[in-house]
Amino acid sequence: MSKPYHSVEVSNVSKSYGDVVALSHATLKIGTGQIFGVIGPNGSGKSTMLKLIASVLQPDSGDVRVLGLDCRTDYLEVRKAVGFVPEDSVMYQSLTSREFLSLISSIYDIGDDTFNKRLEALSQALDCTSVLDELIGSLSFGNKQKISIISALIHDPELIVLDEPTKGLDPRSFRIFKDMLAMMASNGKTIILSTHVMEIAEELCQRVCIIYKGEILAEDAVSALLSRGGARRSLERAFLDLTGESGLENIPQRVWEAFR
Amino acid sequence: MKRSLTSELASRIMIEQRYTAMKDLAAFRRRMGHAEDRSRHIARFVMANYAAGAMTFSMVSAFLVAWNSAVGGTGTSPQNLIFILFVYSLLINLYNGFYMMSSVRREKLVEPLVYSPVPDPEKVLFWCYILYYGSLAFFVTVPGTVILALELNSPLLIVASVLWTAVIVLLTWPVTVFLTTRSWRIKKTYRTLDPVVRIISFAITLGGLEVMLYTPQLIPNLLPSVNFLTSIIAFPFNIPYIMENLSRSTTDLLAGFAVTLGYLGFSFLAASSSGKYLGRKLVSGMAEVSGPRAGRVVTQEPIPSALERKDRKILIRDSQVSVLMVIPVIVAVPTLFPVLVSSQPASSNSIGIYYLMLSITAICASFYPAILLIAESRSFELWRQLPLETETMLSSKKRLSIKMFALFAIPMTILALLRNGSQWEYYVSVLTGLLAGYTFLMYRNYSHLFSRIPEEADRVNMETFGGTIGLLTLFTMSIFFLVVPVILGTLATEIIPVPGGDRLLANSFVDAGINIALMIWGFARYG
Repeated sequence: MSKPYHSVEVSNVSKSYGDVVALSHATLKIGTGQIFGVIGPNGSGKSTMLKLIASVLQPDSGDVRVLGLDCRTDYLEVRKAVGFVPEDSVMYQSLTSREFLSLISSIYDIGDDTFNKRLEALSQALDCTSVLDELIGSLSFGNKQKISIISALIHDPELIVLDEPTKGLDPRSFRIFKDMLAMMASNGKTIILSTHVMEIAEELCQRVCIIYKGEILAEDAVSALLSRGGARRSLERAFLDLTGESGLENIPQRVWEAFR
Repeated sequence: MKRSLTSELASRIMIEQRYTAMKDLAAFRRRMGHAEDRSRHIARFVMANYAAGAMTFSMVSAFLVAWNSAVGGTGTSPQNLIFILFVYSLLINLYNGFYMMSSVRREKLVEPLVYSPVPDPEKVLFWCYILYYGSLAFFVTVPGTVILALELNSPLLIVASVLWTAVIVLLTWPVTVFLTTRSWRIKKTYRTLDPVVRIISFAITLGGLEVMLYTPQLIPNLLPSVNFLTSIIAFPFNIPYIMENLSRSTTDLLAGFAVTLGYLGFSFLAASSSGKYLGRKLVSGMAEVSGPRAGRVVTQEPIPSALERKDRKILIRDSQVSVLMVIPVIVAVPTLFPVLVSSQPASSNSIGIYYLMLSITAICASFYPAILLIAESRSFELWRQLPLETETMLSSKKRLSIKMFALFAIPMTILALLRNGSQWEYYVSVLTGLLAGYTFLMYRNYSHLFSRIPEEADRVNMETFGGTIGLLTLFTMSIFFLVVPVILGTLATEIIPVPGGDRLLANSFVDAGINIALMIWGFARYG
């Protein structure tokens, strides 16, 4: 089956938690083989957007289609095709990393040989072979994040959804992980990642969208957004301008004065 | 540290603990949506929960004593009633303390205290335990004792009851601290021996207390046979002895209060010193790490077996889960005790006790869905990421629950059958009926509890299922579903003539038939 032109199509989607509106009438298309960034301040709706795309949540209204599948009706097929790293990794703390990853591979029906080959490659790449037989509950934050990343990649998903994936990674693993993502995208995988770090978005992503208070303020190629940043040409500048957060220069001064 | 800050932080921990569980519940969100001062509303909501628990305990305590007075001579003696109330409060306190410390650890509620300049974070935990958990023990003991004091015209009973409850509350704190902080040690790997030792120690402690509860004649028989000093000192058996003899003579009164105050002083000292131990553990113990272990090869399995293996491992490795899972057999075994030690030949009475024992096991084990769902805790978010139907995830838990029940029920049946030596058809019929009835209960309870978990919930704990009241409802419904076939069986054998006249056997066949029908209906309705 040929890959769809757009891996993800979000059409007029809204999602609320009680009376808190997390996402309002969001529309988005993400091309196959892209690295797509979702950026926005804390609580803007980024994680909700990613969970809707990963079929972890269902929208209140609107449609989400992933790889041509309807997330509402074909959610199991979508989950099979997606690798998701949530912001707070959720894993069974009382299993060892290897036991947990084996459980995941059983669910995705990977097969022993493939599983062992991929586990060896990924754990060596992310430098966590030594913790594979330790209980997840005893791992450091960074090692937990590495196991969470392996669990999302081990079934070779077509779409990889990463919510703040670089949190806690050491510089070596961070470098390798970024290169791995670039290689996967060049081989036709679609990658969506959310981040607060504008440099990561600038360096990795071809396109980004900026979410603010549950609404998509802009969605464009990184180069196009950079040009909006004016003479300073930074994504941070463009982000602050779009979210109406310019004029922040005086804040440190005000804080300093409050302490004097 | 200022007293007001300690109590404020203590209440913050308790509220936080409840809030993390309730925040995703639709009803809670609706209430929050309308509330003007949300923070205060949450605190009020949590306090209302506490009040509901206190009221439930008071009603049970008062009802137990009042009902015993109403039935008069056929009821149990005041000494036994006092013993039951105090042992119950001891068990409740141990459970509550264990639950509080486990969730404080699991939800990382204590970390903000450890990382901030709070001089004695252990005091905050102590006051949290005293104010919101331990204090419930007073609602177990005092209302019943007040009725008893009025009945026996002995107001001193109330004073003694308050003092002994304080002793129990204070004494259970160091026990809880010691037991829970041991498991705070961060383990890199896992030793199979750990849960075995844990479960055996728990079984010996709780099983011993349960044997006393199920054989109430043991205490009055035991106490006169030992000397005065032992009767008045041996905790917790001395509580009913002291309380009943307070108004007998001045010597008894003075000796009783001297021992009571002695215990109070000792428990206060034990609680204080455990605070220092806990303080050290809070700062350093959380970072202790056990040694590594060599790697193992894990072979993959089909999805149902892989999920069941995961549940089995969680069950064995999580101390709270493993202890809760063996409670049914610990509660039921004392019922078997009289059958096994009885010198009487096989009788319908021993068959009745066997049936009661298996029913108690089934009722206690009807909590398995709640336990195994709570054991998932934060993993519910993972469930939603995996390409699996919820039913697939639940079915491994259903199978495990039914296997656990069968693991207890079948050896119990064999033991009872060996002791009785005849009427095997009755045992087979009862076992079949209860296994079918329990299977139905599992399907029903999993479906009921799972429906209470909100779609967006990122964790599950006891409050998700309605806390004490919710679990009490589950308990009542489980009893209802097990009792209905028995009532229908009895009615049927009363109305329809039984060939051969063995009404008991006919009754068990009808009971099993109804349970099997319920199980088939359960498969269709909830499967």
